[in-house]
Amino acid sequence: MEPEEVLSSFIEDIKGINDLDSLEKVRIKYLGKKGIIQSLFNQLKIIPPEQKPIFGKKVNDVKEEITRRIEELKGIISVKKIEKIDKTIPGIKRKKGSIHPLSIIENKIVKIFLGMGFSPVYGYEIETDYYNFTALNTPLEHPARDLQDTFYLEDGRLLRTHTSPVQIRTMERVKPPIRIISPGRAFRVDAFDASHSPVFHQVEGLYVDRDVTLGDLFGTLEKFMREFFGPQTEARFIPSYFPFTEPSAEMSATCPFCKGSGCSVCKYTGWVELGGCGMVHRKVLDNMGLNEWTGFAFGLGIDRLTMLYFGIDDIRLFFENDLEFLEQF
Amino acid sequence: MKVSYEWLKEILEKDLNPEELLKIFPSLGMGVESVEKKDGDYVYDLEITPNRPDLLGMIGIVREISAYLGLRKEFEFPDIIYNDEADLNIEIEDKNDCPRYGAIVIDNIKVMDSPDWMKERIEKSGIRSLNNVVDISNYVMLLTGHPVHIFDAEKIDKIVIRRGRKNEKIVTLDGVERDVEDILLICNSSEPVAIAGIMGGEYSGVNTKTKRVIVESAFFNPVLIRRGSKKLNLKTEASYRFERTADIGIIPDVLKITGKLLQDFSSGKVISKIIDVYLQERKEKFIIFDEKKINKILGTDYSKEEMKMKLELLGFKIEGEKIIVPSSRRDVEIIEDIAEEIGVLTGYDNIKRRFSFIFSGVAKDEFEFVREFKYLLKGLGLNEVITLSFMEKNFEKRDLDFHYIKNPMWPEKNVMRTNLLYGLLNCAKTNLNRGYETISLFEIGNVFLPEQELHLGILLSGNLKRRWFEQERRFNFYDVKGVFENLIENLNLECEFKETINPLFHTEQGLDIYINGENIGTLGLINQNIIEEDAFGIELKLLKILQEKGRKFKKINRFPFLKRDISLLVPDGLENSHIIDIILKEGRFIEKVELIDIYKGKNIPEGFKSMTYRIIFRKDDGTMNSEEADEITKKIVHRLKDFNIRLREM
Repeated sequence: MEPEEVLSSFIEDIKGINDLDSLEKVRIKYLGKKGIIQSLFNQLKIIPPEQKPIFGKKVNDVKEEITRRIEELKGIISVKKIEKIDKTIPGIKRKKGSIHPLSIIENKIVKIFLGMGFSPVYGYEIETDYYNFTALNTPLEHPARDLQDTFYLEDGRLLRTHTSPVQIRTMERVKPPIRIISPGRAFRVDAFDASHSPVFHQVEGLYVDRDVTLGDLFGTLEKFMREFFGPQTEARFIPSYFPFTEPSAEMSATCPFCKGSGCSVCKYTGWVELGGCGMVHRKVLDNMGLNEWTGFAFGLGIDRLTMLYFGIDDIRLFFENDLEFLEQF
Repeated sequence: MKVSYEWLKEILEKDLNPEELLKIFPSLGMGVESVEKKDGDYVYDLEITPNRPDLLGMIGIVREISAYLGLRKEFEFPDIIYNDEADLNIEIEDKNDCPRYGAIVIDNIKVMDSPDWMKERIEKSGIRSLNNVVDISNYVMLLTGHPVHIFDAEKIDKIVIRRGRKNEKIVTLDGVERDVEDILLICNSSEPVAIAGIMGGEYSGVNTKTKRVIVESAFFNPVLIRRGSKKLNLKTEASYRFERTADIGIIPDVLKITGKLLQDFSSGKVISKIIDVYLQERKEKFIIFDEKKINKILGTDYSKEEMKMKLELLGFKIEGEKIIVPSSRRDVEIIEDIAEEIGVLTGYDNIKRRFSFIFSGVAKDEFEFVREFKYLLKGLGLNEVITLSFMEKNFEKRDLDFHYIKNPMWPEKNVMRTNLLYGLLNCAKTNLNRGYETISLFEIGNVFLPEQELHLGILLSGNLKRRWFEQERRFNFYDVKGVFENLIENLNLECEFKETINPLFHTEQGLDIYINGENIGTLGLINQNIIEEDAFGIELKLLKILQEKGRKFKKINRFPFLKRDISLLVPDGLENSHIIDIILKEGRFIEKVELIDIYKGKNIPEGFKSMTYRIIFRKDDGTMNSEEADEITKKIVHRLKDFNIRLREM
């Protein structure tokens, strides 16, 4: 057979082929070890020397052409094999899970403070009077105790009314400098309504070092607020009172909803309250044997920050755990 | 503390915009709860912190406001003309209970209505107007912050300040008979006439026939007043102020102004001098004026002169190196208190904010671990819930050491939770009732056994919804076991199971989980006596897992493996783990045995099921060959025959 004939017979053979097996058979017929192309090369031995280069070239061309066409057809056949599907059908998937918004915000807060050098520690939800009050400069019979209605246990202990006992437990255990952050649950006898809950969440912060100033406290919390709500956020501090800090302040940020122009969330003040803070009271430090040291402390309301961050208007939603609520997070 | 704008302005003697006050109050630490417009006046409801009893009267508030405005304003008490016809014998049993007691006697009183302006002022402050005498006592308290009490002098032959004796009783002004043992009392020679600092007695009270009165202005031990008020469950405007510590220095002035008002508005005549029994004189309180220290606390560089000016505006006196604290400021004790005064008056906004942290914190394992865990559970399709910590005791079937709450929020939920399943089941019920079909929840939180322990709870209930790639079906035991195994595999941990002994779970479908021989929790079907609906749960000690985390790296085996699948006819009742144990007995070349299929039905005889196992063979020192694998498989099949397990004819 002449090379030209081989090519036309190949073209005839691949007509109508639409599966890889048949194509493979054709490939073997032409390109296999005992295939037609090989037999053409074998003919080189017997043709006159002057025709050899021309014949050789022709056979090579045919071989290349056949190889090319087989590859091309292979591509076409494999593409054809994939069936057409309805791509609008949803994928095979698991049900959606979710993380509670309070956890999301707790993580966010802790991570910001982690970046500032505060390390997370955990405290006890059941505390003694000493850690919750006395060591925090709130002795028995002190009117400031009225600010925090307390759940008492039969054994005389209590459910901590704030995360601040962690301050004492840390100062007892660790030598300064101290930089800790402690998220957790706290309890107060309170109404259970849109803005109150007997169980709530706080993040406590404590920094004890040499020459800590009120300016450091304000600067640190301002930095936090900007990282949390965005760089345009302004921080405001107004005087307040906590028995275990002096000077003390209440911290507020520009309302994240109206950006300070006044709306229902901030009760038209332009500011939202985030928690309390102050310089650790001299008496508290002295009681811990830290006479030479200074420090600041703060407590942020996680529930409040979460409500502000997501625009949630009823604290009970956190504890009701309706799936329609949860699955939004 | 309710404050009338009109009254404040009168004392301040300065015109001030009511809007401006809304900004001034908070910057001085007085929160504005509400503002009410009343008859052309504004009434601010101020939140006064417990350390500032000096702000529980108008003159204290005005002192602060004027200092803020850069003015020095001290209220001037009027002088009155005394007469000393009358005298009064005052006896104080214990000077620690009552270090100072002052009184003044006024005769010729006419009890009638108060002038309108006075009525209005006290009513705006939330106190009901009764008659001129009672109103004056309240008016003076609102003005000075110091409570006064007025007795009908008829009933008082002398005044004795002492504790109540055993079984002693008094009927108070509100008509209630009260047991006053050990409570501080004001008595005449025979009986109590008032509960000191809390409420007067009915017997000695002023009535329309009263002609002569005794006005009392005193200092009582704040702890006694607070204790008494708590014990009697009786809180009054007076007790509120006394328990926050009264101003011992203001006592004569209070008597003067009360006498003056009684003269002017009840036609009274002062017939005694100011009787003042002052047993324990207040020592002058001073703080060393260390301006460097103050600047160090605040992070400021205010000059001493600047500080001095601010302090003087607030009524402090500077004498050389001393800051003399006025008697009104019983809260100021240390240099930090002075720093706060200066910080507040110069404005917290003017304190330069500094941020200087350059180090990074160390995330304790617990924080990272719990955070990662939550995302892992979310990925498994679970919804995190957060529930309250209170539990009904009956829910817990085990005999545990409970923490009982003395004053529970809800009477039936009176113990601290001992597990998370309680809250999870309540969430499940709520959501099922609302029509949700698929409940798959988790919570991570502290329980008390009786020590605080961090737990993970998981609950599955209801249906796996029908979707195009799978059938609708109820959750079953293997769903919850699967969630657990997913967690364990993700953490590279291995565990063992045993029949559960936790009564919250069903024995037939419950397993206790052990890691390194320690019970770390339970999984399975929640006992039907707890919830009728099928619910599958996990209760796990989370930190036990944290401690176990981190299996050591195992060298990778590069030799190829061989696999053989065997389908077995297994009599009902024989368990998977048992069969795997039998297979594993056949030597060390078996790397893994996995159950890959279970079938019951056509072609399977009654009382049997088909179970297909995939056995992976591998050597760690050479290539496993086919013949070896077949040989071992044969031995396995032979061994299984002893247990009535046959190879299934394919």
